[in-house]
Amino acid sequence: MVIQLWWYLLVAIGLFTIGLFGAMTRRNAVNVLMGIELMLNAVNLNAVAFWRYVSPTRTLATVDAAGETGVGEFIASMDGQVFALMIIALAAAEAAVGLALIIAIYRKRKTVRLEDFTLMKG
Amino acid sequence: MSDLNTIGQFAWLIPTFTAVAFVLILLQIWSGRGGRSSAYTAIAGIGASAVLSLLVFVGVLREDPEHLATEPFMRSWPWAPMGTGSLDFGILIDPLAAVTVAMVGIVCTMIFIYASAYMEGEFTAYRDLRSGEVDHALGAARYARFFAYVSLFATGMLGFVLSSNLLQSLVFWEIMGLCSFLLIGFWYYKPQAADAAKKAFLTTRIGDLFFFSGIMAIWAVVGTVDFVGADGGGILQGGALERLSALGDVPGTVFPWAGVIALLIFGGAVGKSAQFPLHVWLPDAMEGPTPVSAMIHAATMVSAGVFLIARMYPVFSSATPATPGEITGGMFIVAGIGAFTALFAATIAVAQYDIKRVLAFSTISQLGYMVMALGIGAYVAAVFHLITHAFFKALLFLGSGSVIHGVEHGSHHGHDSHGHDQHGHDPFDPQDMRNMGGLGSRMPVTYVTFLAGTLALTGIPVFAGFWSKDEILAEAFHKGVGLHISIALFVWLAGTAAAFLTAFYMSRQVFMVFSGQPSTKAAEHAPESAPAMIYPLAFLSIFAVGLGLVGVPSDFPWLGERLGGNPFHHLLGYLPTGAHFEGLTFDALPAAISIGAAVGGWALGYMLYGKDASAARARDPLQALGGIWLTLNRKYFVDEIYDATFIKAATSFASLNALFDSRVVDGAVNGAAWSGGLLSRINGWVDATIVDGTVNLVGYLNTEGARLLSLLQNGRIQSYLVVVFFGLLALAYIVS
Amino acid sequence: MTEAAVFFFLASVTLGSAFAVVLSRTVLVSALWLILSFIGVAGMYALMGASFLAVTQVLIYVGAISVLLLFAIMLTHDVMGEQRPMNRQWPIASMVTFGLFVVLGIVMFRADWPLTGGEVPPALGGVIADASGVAIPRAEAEAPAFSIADDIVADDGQVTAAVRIPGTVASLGRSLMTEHLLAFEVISIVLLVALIGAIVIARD
Repeated sequence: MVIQLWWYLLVAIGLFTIGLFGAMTRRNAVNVLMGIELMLNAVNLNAVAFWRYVSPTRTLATVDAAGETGVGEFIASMDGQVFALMIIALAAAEAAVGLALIIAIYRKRKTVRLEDFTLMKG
Repeated sequence: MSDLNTIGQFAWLIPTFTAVAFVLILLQIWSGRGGRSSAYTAIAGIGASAVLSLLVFVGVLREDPEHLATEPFMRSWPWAPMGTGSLDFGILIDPLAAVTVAMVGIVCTMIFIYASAYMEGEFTAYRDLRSGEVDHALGAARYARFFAYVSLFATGMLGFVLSSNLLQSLVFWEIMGLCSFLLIGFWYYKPQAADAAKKAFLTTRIGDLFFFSGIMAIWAVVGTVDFVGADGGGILQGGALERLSALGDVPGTVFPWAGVIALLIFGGAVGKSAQFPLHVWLPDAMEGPTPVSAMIHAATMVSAGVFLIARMYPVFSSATPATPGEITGGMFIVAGIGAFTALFAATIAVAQYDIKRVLAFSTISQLGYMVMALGIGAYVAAVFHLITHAFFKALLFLGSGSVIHGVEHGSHHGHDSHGHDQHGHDPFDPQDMRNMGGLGSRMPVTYVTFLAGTLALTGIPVFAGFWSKDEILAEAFHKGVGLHISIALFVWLAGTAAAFLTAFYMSRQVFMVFSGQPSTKAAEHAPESAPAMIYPLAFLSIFAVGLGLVGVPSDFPWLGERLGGNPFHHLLGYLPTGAHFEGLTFDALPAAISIGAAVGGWALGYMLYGKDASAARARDPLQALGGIWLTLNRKYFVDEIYDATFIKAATSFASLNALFDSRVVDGAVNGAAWSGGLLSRINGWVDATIVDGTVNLVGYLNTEGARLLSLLQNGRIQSYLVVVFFGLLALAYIVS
Repeated sequence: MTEAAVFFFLASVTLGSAFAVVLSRTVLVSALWLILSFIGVAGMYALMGASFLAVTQVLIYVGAISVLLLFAIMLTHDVMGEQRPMNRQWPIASMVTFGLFVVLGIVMFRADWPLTGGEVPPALGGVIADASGVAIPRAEAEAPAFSIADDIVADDGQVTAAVRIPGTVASLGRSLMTEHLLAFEVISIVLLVALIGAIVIARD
């Protein structure tokens, strides 16, 4: 059995929806942030899977350990991985700011329950 | 230099000059150097734009109009590359754009010069809150800010006219909308100005939504938003129009899908050009400074809607691209709305007292003329009227500004003896025509130029408005009576009636403002305005008198042959599709009827207002009409109806019954105080029967609706998240 | 076969601990499960040959972000669980998310992914051949003379030029410093801004 692209995509979709469910339902703000991190991970998994399976390729010569030469199709572009790296960096920034906000709110309101934050109530 | 291929390379500078002026003025304000130098910066910017646009115009005159219409001069730069093509930013110069951009350049330059004097009052208008002394720094910054706004506005208009695609048009269109908001609300500390700004912004936004939907529809059908493509692939060219007409009819009707798309675009024009039913914002927009009224709400911005229809005309008539004069389903509605608006606004203008409000309704009415002309396929006549109207309406607004300025100065002069202030309920209004009179001898230049603009607007022969308005009416007459197209007949009847009313309300205005004895001390002491305000008036009045001669029908008796054919028609007579509009042969009957209507309007105006102007100011003769008068004076209660339906429905879902009650009753009481005892009696009756019943019903609906809606608007971010993704699912279901 | 087995193991670890993150009553326990989920994702990166990303995932997510989360949990004194970890809209939220799962799944299966099926170059590169296909000693190949060339195989399948296959890590570095340089610089500014912002916000 060879690993297919859609296996990864299915895992990514599952991870995304689980994270979304967490972000929608958890009462604790830190937990909501965890859900968002899960969603970001799902996106990353998608990006890397696409990098692995649908990147442009180029033909290169190869030599194996026994000295046999041959020709192989190799992935030529690193765009998918660059995407994932950027998202990891953004996630770090997001987590830092988000947690700082949670701490600041906690100092003021002594709670991290999201349902207590209803200042935007119309 | 005047070769189009040379000068056209620099045409992108036309909107850029004013944009640079905008940035420079902002820098001046931030560095604390705003003030008179900002006005000079703005005038230099728009002046450079005007000179360049005139050069472009001269370049266009040297080209063959047919060639230039079908293969306009274009330059574009990629803006957002995407997939197969890219969205571009570019300029497109064809006869339509060249004529309009030259008009905008000249009119805006005059208005900028005028405004540099008109806005002088800003320097001393603000006081420090603590010390109570005049805050000169703040005043200078406000003065500078005005010129920053108008420069940005000019950028929007010039960029819009020169746009090479619909999306870019929308960008500049929205810049204009923003500037309109900022300028109407320039004196935002006045509640009416702030409200008017919000009203204008939101009302035009309704139209913009339609416009944007239309752009997306065109993108979906044609796959591009470029007006003209290099290989004939633009939306105004044959291939795209065929795809539009190949969409067929809306199921179950005879109405083509292409007409639906055209009407979406038209929705944007309805908002911007203040056509019924989105006209309500324009009269209120008169809360802005008068130069703004002249520039945005008379001469240029409101013309943008008409320009958009003219620009998209091939799409409007796409069902029959071969015969450009034919009226398609979409155009039928355009003509109907235009004609209705022309007549509707003219009747309201008859019963207004505010000098600028009369002109505002007159503008709506004249825009209606242009729209209905486009609707019946009188493309050239509509553009002609667009150009002439811009000049004489700018002149009229600037003239009214000069009058207001004079009366304001006069009121400062005779302030002590002024009687109104003691009563407290009726502060002196320098825009109320009943407070004027006798200004003809006190402000001679203003009087003469205003009269020239009025004669042009009312369509008295030889003046500019006559030729353009008569061409519209002649086309309508020709199609309505000759070819028996019912909508054209309606257009002609409405247009002729509106022409009569136009002459009537404008003569009423002239007599009330300028003749007889002054009604107030303020009018008695009104001085002539400063030179910087008078010279633009004089310059614009030259156009108001003579501009029409470029569009005299070539077979007009005596005059036609001496003017060398009809140069305007020759220039504008071609569409990007290559279709050609044949000029009408001159017909004396409609011309005589429209002259008769204009003279009749003047005669009636003289009888009611001219003979004894002072008495007419004291008590308007039209008040004899009773209920009709009241209806006209209150603008058919459209604002009240909107207030009671859309506005209330939107705002009061979350508010309580009591709030609604106090608002309506308060509004009614204020209105009653304003228009006298008659209205208050009517209001009393309306209050007791209709309003109370409505209030109870609406209150019940409100509380129920509020209860349901408040479940959504609970302030919890997670609920919003659920709703967002629920919407996403719904969208997925819809598109799948 | 072993690869598939590893995949299924990693997928079940990832998704299972993700479920635990969302469902567990205590925030602290959630955070610990989250670490395990991150590790599962890192494993999948490694399985796909994105070795640098796998290491980065462990460093940033498992190392930094998780610790940050734990700090936040401690600082907000909300270590202990509560009776009701979820708000009242969980039934509708579960329906919406399940709907989204179905929609995304349908989209995924319907889409025609243009698979190219290239191999992942070895992490550190170093498979070297000269024009005649003879292996070249590593030290020699690292000399500047051996550049990356795309066109080293003629139409008839003959190897025509010497090449050093770059490893994924080297390629990634090169890519970041050339075509994605702007994004790289911008993201570093974003990080700086976020850092300062976080300090300012969280300061007393």
